Amino acid sequence: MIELRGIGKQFPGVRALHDVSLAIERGEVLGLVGENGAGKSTLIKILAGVYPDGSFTGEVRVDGKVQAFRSTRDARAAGIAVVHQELALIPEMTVAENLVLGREPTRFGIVDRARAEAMARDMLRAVLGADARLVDLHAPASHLGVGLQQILEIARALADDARVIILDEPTAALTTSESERLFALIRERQAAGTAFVYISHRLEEIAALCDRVAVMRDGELVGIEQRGTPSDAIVAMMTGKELGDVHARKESGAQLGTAMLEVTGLCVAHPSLPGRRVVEDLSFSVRAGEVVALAGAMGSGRTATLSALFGLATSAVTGAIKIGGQPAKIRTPAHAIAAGMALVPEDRKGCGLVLGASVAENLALASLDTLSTLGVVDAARAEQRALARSRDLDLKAPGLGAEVATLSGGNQQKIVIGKWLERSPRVLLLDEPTRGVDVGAKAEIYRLIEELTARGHAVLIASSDLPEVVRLADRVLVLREGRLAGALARSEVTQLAIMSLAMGTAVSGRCTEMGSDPITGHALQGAVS
Amino acid sequence: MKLEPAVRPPKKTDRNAWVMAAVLAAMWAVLAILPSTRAVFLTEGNIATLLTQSAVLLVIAVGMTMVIVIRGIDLSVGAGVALTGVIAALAQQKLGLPTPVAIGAAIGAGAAIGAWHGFWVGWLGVPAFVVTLAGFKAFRGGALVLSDAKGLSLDDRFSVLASHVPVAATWIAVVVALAAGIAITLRDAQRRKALALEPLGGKVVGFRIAGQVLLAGLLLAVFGRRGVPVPVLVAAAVALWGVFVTKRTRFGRHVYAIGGNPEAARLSGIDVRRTTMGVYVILGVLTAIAGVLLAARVNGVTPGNQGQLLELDAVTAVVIGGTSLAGGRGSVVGTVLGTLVFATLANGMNHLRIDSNWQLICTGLILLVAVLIDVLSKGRRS
Repeated sequence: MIELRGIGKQFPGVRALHDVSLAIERGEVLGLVGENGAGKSTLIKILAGVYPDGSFTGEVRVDGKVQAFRSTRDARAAGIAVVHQELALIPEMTVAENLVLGREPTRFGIVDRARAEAMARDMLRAVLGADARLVDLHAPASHLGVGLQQILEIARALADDARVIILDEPTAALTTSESERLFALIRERQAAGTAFVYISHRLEEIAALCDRVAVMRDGELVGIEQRGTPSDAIVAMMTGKELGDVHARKESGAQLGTAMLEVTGLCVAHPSLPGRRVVEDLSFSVRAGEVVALAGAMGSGRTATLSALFGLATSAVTGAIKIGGQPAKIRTPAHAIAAGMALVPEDRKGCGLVLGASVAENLALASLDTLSTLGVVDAARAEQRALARSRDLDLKAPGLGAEVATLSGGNQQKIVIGKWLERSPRVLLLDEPTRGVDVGAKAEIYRLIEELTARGHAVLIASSDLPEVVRLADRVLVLREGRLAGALARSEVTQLAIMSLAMGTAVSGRCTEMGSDPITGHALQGAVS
Repeated sequence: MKLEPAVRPPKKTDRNAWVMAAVLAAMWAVLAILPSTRAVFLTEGNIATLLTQSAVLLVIAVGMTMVIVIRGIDLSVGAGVALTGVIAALAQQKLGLPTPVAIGAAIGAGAAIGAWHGFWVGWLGVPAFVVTLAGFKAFRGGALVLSDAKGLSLDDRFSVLASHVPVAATWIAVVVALAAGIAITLRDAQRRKALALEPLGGKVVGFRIAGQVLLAGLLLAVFGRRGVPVPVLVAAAVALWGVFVTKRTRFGRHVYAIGGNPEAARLSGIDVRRTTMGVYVILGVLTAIAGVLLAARVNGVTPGNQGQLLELDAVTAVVIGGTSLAGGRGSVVGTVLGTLVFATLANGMNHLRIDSNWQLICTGLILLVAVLIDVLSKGRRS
């Protein structure tokens, strides 16, 4: 139905794509995998008309006819829609306005508002069914969870009569139940003849959903595998080497020391609803050399806990915090940093990095006080430190002067972690440390976390990625609606145990047709009903 | 499967508009009570003067609102007012063209100025601040060159624009506008019912209609006996048009989308460049209308200082009205209220016999307070 022939794309100094040929058939789900920088995004942008005809070599054909997309509009008209990783919603506009954006029903340029709202309602019903009633069409899009925002985008693609919907890392920010809803929607639309291109770093999802998997490496298509190819074979194709199992659990925990972080009776008020709390009476501790994970559904208070500990909460916080045995009063991030904490935030691009600044500048950002005298930064020393740090981190960047915006997600994340290592924080808080990061970088970030704990740092992780929690945590605290639903010791941690605590029900071990992860044998995320 | 329902907050823009309306009402109440202004402020004549004086500013501020919503700015409108005024005067005086043609020439020049800005900002990607700063210099220079740096006077045919509309026409205009407003409100309610949407409810409909009647009543109380001044009528028409364009047209939605997230807007198939161009052309045309109105009111053009600081006054009025300089948020209704607050301040301080130098200091502080209120009402967002 849609065919790419001999696609090549050159950026100044970089060959982004070379001779890629690929066909997408009606009603199939085609997986597209590869490490960051392998050329997936470039390929998608060509398909979506972001890179106009003429800026690349090769042909895009739809139903056998050669297309010359000049803009995203042309690609959409040809039935190709993309749900981008960075969601394309306008946060200030309402759900209804976002849904009809770019296709407002008008007469003489005047929006028929009633019809627009009815249209939005129908679009929502098409993807959510009866649950559509739960979504307030007049709420600003920014008030919806990421999962719902994603679903709005799919609703928009479907309303365009898209024949191919390209999903770029759709589940990166979704909870298990949200992912499950998405998969159900994909299967339903697939049966109706819509084709999907599914890009993900989560190979277990690829294995469960995709009919075929196209694997890319260094700008080339290295192979198209049929359903059922073992994940380790795909990983080997992606990386060009045998990585072993990323999610294999590490050996018994490092030597645990004294309690580094002690939290007693932490309560965080809801930022906008008076009387409600997002974190309720939470007490726990993290010892030196220990990795404690906070798990739970989206909105269960994982991020709110980390934010409150780091002095970022926008609402009232009560409770006592001790760091290294000393009581700490933390009202601002500066207090938290001074007390020996560091936070790697969930939103890497929005909060973790200065995207337009260089690698060296970003690495120096958290330790400028130690790098400067009388307010003057010692640039040479900063560069020398950055050089050493980037070697430690095995950073893949064209140079220290490169803009971080141009790096892959994995390398960006290493920089966010790396900038804190300069300070050698006693307690490291990590929020979704490997979101949108490829398998290779994921393995390196896990290794980095283990090195840190081996050196006696305490690590608190909030993660929605269950295999990651199982892989890393010495102890798991499961949150449900802001309260501690249960704690699991290392020997008790399984995805099933975490999910049943998170959902507040005894979950049976029944798996659906998705089966289990071929690598780890764990129950699949989103597979347990 | 559990879906977290979206929490519906009160609409921010609406709330800000209510706050602004309350501030304005409070200012008027204070000025109506204070001994030194009691006798003069709340009189038909003074309110008419206040509105007439704010007309030029309002016309520009409506366009400036849209420019600021798309994350732009226009520093050249003051110079543009001088240049378009000079063009209108020259077309009429030197070329002997009929007045409507002279006005048309000025508006054409305004549109060209806007297109020029739109091209530089939208297509070439030069920051609006820089593009319009260049215009700030160049258009003033252009006005001086065209006029030989001499003041130009206008003849009587222009003074129509500074006169009053007859009483009968005033009543007709207000009643027609009111009828249109009520009709639109009722049609909205009926359309929602027809499409099985959550109905508006009799209370909301009643409230809206009552508001419209109240506003019409106020206007008739001020202008019903002497007729509405032409500049006020023009400004009111521009403001209503601005509300309509921003709230009800596809173009308006695209403007907010671009201001909220330009990349997302582009990916939604919105032509960001063309919309940007459109917004600057609108402001250019409104600048020309303001230029002609101002020239008619002061009965001439002094190319060296006509419209000076108007650009900053317009930005002040827009920002007081709750539009965010970061883009994506703001409303024309807010701008109308912001302009009135701004004009009331000047008018009130004059009546209070506050020294004009102190007036500047007060205006500056009030701008800060207005923005502070806006920041606080948004809550700490970091």
